[in-house]
Amino acid sequence: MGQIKYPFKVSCKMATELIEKRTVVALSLKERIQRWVHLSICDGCTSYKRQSQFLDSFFLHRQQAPSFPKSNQIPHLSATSKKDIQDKLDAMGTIEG
Amino acid sequence: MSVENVKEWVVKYADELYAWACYKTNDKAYSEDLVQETFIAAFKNYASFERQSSPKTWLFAILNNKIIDFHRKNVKKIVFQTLPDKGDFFSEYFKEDGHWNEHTKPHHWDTSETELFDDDEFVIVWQSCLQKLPPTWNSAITLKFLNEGAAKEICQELAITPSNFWQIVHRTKVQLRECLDKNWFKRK
Repeated sequence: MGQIKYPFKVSCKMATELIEKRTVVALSLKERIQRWVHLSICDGCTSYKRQSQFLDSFFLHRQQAPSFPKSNQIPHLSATSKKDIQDKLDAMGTIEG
Repeated sequence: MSVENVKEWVVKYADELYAWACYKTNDKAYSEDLVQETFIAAFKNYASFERQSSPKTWLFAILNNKIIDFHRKNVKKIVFQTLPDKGDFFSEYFKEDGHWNEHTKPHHWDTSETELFDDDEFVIVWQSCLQKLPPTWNSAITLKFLNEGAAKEICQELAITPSNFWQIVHRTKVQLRECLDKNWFKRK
């Protein structure tokens, strides 16, 4: 029923989809209106939009500033694996050498 | 001699390279392979290194290229797999009419976001939420931020349709947001 009476009214699922779609491709005029109308009346999606932007900035931050959390969760390469790499290098060295 | 030098780099840098690869791919077994390939490539191209700055920088540059290839290959798999049934995935977050479920509806996050950038505890939660994503989604979102503003190019390069791509971005963000909300913001 809403479809005919309110062509610009969309669900939260659709609205969040448009919020993300907008970061990948340009929205059509209809989609832009749908997004705008929905955001102007929906608290949940307005929070979603802000949090989505936070996720983006956090992703970018992690991409640019690689720091590991100071914890014992940092993985180490086993001694066997290191030895394995060195053996392979030796073998290659012999062939080339 | 080059073999001895590269072998010494294994002792010095293998752990750091491995930790970085694990962090960037969420795949420990694959990270071992990547580190091994990095040293082998370094040995093969030793001649091109000598005039460059530091071995560490050079090794990380080789590794980073391999990591990007890993994500590209992963995202290409999307073409061959169908997305999980729309209703299935989204029913956890949205009611049948498409509006938020009561318990997943986003509420204001009452934290200064920039403070979280260097909060170790938050980073651990963030990492564990990323690990819960399907690997192809994780790769898609990683590539998105490696090529900020160039989503079209990623799609062309990987021969996936933009709608495939943003649908995955949408699912990834919905899942990640909810995971952080539950495991961090609602606990604080």
